[in-house]
Amino acid sequence: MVTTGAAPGLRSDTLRNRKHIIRSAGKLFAEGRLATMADIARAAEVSTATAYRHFASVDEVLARFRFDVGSELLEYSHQQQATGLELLRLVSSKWVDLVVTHGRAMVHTRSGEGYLARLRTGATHLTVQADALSPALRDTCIELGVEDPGDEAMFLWNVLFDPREIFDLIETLGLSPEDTARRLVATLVAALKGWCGLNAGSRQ
Amino acid sequence: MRSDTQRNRRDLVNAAGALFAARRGPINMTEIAKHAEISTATAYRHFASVEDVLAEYRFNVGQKLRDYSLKQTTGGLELLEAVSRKWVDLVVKHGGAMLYTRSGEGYLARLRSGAFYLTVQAEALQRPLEEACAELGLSPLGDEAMFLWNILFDPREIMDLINTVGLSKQQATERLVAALRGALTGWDDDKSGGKKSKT
Repeated sequence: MVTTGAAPGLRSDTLRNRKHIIRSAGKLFAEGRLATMADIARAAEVSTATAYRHFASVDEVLARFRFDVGSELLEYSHQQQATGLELLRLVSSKWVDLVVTHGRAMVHTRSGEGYLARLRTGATHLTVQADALSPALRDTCIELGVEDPGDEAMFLWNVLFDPREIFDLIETLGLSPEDTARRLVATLVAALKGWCGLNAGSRQ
Repeated sequence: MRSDTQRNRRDLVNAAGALFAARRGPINMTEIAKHAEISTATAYRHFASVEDVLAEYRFNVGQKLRDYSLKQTTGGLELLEAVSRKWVDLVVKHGGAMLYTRSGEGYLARLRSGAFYLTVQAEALQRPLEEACAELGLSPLGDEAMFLWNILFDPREIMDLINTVGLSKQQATERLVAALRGALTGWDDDKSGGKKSKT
């Protein structure tokens, strides 16, 4: 389910147009196409002028698209009964599924700003994603017996679960989405311990 | 190559480095050429795009890292930490120009297709990572170890830790190396079916 979270009071056809524009952009980029606003408008069956009334740029449409995907992750996270590491596994697997489903629309050629810099200034699709993960990360830290590093845990999660890297593991290493999710969670948990100073030296 | 041709090329790469270090946002070939005191037409004879200029800039920085790595007499985790620290230094020094290249392609896909600025960096890390894995008692992870190093030591993330979290270069290096050690262990453990780690 997609939550558009559009401004209240919008007329329903306006809202529908907005949804179509976002969905069309997602579809075009998922196919690996570099769509212009005119392409997106055509696919959404609205005029280019209408598309521009909703969004100032293609980047803005894509940001909205990623926000909606993040909202889906948040909703999934809220529905789970599991906690801690188990919840982290579930939410991370769901993320890998979402990335695979939405394909290249999730891979952004990114800004020069770092993840935490963007998160702390409240970039919307990042905050919703962080909301989906932070309870699981916090509980996981408790389970591991490490001090919760706050958004630095989210920083590590984000670095490892970048859609581009997920596709790299699936396409280049040939891992299945399930294997990818499991591998990355195992890597993240161990990275978190290391980050929080729990490196037990070499494994015997 | 004639020496003035070579000089022009070097000037262009340096100009791009200086411009990207000085300000954010897109910079075009005309600006780079102007800064290098070369005509735009000449600039385009050397490089097809600004991306190409930046790739050469990154290649040069990667070479510095490789040279440093090859000179080291230490090994294992100590070497990994030394080379990683050098990389953090280079990133901080060269700042802006290191942040902008981002292709939609994954790291391993680019590395395996021989992206020249990635291969030189991989050469710099090859022995440190191999020996660190051995010291940690892990199986040789090859370019998968490089994949993990690369995502943790991405210039953008390094600058984020320094500028946003307020870590020093030394702290950022230590944290990232510690996270990498864990990450390598977790990766290998899962790869080998979780058999080894149950201690």
